[in-house]
Amino acid sequence: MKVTTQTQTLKNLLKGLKKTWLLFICLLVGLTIVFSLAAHWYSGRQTGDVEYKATTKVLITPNKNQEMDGSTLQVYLNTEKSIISSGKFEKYLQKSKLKPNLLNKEDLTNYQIENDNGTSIISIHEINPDKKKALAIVNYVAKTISRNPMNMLQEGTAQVIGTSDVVQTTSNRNMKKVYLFAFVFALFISMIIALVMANYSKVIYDAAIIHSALSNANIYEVSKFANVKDVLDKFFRKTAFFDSNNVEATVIYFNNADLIKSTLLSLLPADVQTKTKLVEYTNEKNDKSNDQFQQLSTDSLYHETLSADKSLSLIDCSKTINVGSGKNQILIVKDGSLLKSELNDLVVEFNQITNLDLYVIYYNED
Amino acid sequence: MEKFNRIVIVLLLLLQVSFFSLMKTNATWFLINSYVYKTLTIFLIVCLICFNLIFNYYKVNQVREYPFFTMMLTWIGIYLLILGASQVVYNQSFITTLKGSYVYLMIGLYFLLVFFFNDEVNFRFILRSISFIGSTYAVVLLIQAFLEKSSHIFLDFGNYGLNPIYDSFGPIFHFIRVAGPADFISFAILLTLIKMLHDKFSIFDLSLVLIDYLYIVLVSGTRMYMIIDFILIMTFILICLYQKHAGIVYTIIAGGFLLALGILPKLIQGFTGGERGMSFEIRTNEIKYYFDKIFYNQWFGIGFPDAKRYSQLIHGPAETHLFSTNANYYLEDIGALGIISIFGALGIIALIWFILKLVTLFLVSQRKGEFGLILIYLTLMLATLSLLDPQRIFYLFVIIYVLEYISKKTSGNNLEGIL
Repeated sequence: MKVTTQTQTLKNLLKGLKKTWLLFICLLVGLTIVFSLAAHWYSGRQTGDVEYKATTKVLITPNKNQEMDGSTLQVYLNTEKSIISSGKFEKYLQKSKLKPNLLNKEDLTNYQIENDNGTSIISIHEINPDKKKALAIVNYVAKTISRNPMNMLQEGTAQVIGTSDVVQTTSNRNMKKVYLFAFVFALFISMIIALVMANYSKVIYDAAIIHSALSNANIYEVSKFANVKDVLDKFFRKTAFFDSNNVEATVIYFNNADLIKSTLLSLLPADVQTKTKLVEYTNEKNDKSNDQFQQLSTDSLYHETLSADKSLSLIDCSKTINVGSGKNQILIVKDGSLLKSELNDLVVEFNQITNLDLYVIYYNED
Repeated sequence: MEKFNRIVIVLLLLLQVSFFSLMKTNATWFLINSYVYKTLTIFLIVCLICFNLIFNYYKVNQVREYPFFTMMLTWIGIYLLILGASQVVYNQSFITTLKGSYVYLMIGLYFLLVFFFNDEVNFRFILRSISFIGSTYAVVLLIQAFLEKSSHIFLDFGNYGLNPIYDSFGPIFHFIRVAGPADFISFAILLTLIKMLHDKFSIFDLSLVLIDYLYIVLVSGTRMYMIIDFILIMTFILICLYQKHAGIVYTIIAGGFLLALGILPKLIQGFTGGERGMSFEIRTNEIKYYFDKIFYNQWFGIGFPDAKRYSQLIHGPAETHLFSTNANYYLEDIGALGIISIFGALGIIALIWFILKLVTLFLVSQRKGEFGLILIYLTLMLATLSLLDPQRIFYLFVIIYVLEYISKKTSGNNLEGIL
């Protein structure tokens, strides 16, 4: 399977998320400040934090001489509701001489009408920062309806039922609560941004992705670098490297070059070392003259011909991706150091080798 | 675990059809699960995700591609931003704001499906379940509509239930009108057609589609779904024909295009004049009203105000239609514009992102037939009916799951890829 930036596992995503902790903290602090300031600014702009909701109820009875079934009664009530909320009725309310002095024209535009389910009762609501005004508006509207001006009830009657009640709908804003919510929202948003960043991360944190790309490879997941030695030992034994005289092996790595070299040398007995052609392909500048490995550039792998002699090739892929042309190859990958694009390049290279016997060591940091 | 998951998915689907409306719905159950309230559905989805994360971790940790994952995370971010801003701007409590917008938490369904139902067996299971449940519901409703003529009622016809309209509008039988289930059954038609394209053409599946369509035409009385489903079925036939007789398909498309050009003026006249004139006028005013609300709160639209306190803001000024029984405007009736009116600038970004994603995935998809069918459904729905209202949001996330599944690259490297 070709690995793309969208290729993901949950483990990979969560480990990637862990790496974005610094971004997460910065975002959390920044967003908390921004959200708190924005909430503070909005709250300052709002006038009349406290609002009251007044309600009064009117029983509407249709013309008694007219027979009505359920659906015609509903149509009648809907029509009445529409009439009560119509612009014409609003204008009538605004112009009427019976309008309480307390009320302006503008006050009579926001009342709301509701029909209690399954009844002929119509509720009139008003939300207003002024408690007295809220009450006056609903009472005035209800009384006007009951007087049936302009035959708005279509031969029916209306009766105000019950006393009007008023409740406080919003209280003064508790700023402590606002800041707490600002923090909680900032937490969630930072988490989401961090998750998006982690999802777009090109780095591989889960060996399962390597396994899906190199499905024919033998993958060893080890917890620390010290265990890499055991797996290398196993690799040498499986390929009969110590016994055979014309065997070749390639070790590919991305980092910890010195450590890997010393581990390899410590595994090879002195007599095997002398019989083996040791080559290191690297584009890193290395001035260690006493190195036991012959140093060549990574590009020279393109000109290499497979020799019949016993050889151990080391390929440093930290700068350029390239692999050997032999059958036995081992890839050493440190958790969180391989990119998805590099893995794809490796897959392309490995696909060119017939009878490839590939081993992968995936180790976590110490 | 697999079996348990499947049982819960079937249960979730049955909740969407209110158990075929066989049980009487009371006020409490209406608030828990109905066409308007999805509390139980969302609760079950959240529980199933938690349960699977604990007991089914290996499944979620499989290597795969998530083309919609980032977009989904961003959608959650946008929702949270507007949730917080609405709370401050409208000076209302967190709970009130959440009450008005909790259906968006249905996004959990996407994560549930893509994490735990992401293999061929489960994909087919979901398609099959929706297809069967849709057709069963259609059969039940057709039988009920037929029996209703002789006053035998066995379905839930209460105010909280199907709430049918007792007028005879149908072309032949003059059945009663039960519009509610049209959403699910229309969705079932889409998925049955996809199932046929995905698997193989079968007479049985085709008969299921026909039963569904019979319900849509004879009982639902929803013009929009009649048109959408007709187009879907025609497209399906064209896709099937294309594989063997591409030439015929091109001829039909060209002919259809010319025919459409001829019919279009009459169709527009039909929608704008005469009986439908009033409805058209309401819709035009509705669009104008909501269009003005896109930047109502600068960077976002209406947001999530308290439905009772701000009903005039949400449903438009009450005095607009004096003699119409249904005087209110509805955000659900104007398709994508409804989404933009709520989310404002962020809604526009989210929608453009979604469209771009759909186009790019369609271009690289190896299953263009299935993908194209969904694209047609989404385009027709986005223009007229919002996919983010409580009834249809469930289908949106199932559709995104289906899109994600069928846009998965199939490489020839291994057998798993080919299968």
